[in-house]
Amino acid sequence: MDDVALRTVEMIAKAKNIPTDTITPESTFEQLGIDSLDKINISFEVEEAFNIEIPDEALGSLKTVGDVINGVKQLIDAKAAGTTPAATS
Amino acid sequence: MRIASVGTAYPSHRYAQPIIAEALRERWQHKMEEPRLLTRLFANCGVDFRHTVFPIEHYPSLDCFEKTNNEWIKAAVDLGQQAICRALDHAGVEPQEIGAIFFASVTGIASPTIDARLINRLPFPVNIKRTPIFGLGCVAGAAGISRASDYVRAFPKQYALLLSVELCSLTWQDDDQSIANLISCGLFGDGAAAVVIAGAETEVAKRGMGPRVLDTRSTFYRNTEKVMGWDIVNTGFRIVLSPDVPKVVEENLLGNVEGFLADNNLKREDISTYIFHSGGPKVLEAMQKSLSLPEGALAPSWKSLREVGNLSAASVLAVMESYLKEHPGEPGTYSILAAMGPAFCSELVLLQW
Repeated sequence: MDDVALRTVEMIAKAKNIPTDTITPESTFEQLGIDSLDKINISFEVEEAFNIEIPDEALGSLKTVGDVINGVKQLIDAKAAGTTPAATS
Repeated sequence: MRIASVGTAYPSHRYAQPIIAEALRERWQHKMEEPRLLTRLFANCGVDFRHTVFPIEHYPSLDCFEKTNNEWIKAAVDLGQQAICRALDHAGVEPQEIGAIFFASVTGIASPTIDARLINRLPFPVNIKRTPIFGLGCVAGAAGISRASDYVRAFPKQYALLLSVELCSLTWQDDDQSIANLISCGLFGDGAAAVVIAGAETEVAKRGMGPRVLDTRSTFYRNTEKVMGWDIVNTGFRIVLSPDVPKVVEENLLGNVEGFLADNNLKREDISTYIFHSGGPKVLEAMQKSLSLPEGALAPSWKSLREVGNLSAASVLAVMESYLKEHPGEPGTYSILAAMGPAFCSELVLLQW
């Protein structure tokens, strides 16, 4: 996993108090016991860590850890390019 | 006995979810550590639009229970009348023919009750039997159909009327920024629904209008009173909403449905459609998972949630209306109409088209 993926996994692990080695990009939130409120709290952590803004309505479509990692990368890239990524809106 | 018709009525003010979210975020931002929590919760509760009884900018002026409840009475009578007139019109039944009226709401209180005030507006017979129901919450739509069906089972030549008016926006609490209240404010909408239940020996039932009510089943879940309900406070109704609601649904619904069907010599495979209360994304997902329903099986319930929000007791009636108008079952097929609500408890109604 690259740096963004590792840091995202660490934040999810910390939020749910679970070991990082039990989390893979394929892990679903349901498997990890992460509910919609946990997702919102994790989204605030992720926003602060990567200095990005996640659209409010994007959270519903995130089902796996990989979805979050990909979304974060798109938002980081879009911010660098000065655009808004369609995939996360 | 049959569900002859459903009529719904909504307040004229209708807002996209982000508009309501922004209005409440602005109103409560100084009371919240992270105001974006509100907009983020609102954006992810499966609701796209809601009706509200007042323009959104009017709500801050409703600053005490007396004001909100008085407004609730006025609006409930108006909206209730509209819903009743639509239901009677669809069924071709006159107010004078109604033998009993059941009124369900959990968003305001009145005495005389709303049904009584409507008897002064519509030409119901003076001997009409009234049963106002307060406190059943979301389950009251299904439970109201069951109790009205019990009535016409006893009096098969009569029609019973069920009315539910829920003005959930009048329960918003300015001093409660708990997750439960934020979810409640994001999920629940305003609306009314009325249902005409025709006794088996009425003209409407003989014409075969609407599905037959074959059986009903109430199930009480002991020691779950903290799962959902109201705390009554000086400013009105403060929501009690546990994160355990989906778990309670998953633990109980399958057993309730299978037991109910077994008593009617039916199996789950015999049920062609499930007409479920639009409780919210987690509740609908739990219902779907519990009964192993295929994707899309609850599409009308999801659609109702998106378009008008959770209308508490009126929701399952609004979903029933969409089945009657857009997705009626093939003759002879079975459906289960169901809702769950405070106690915690469930109500199941077995229908045959």
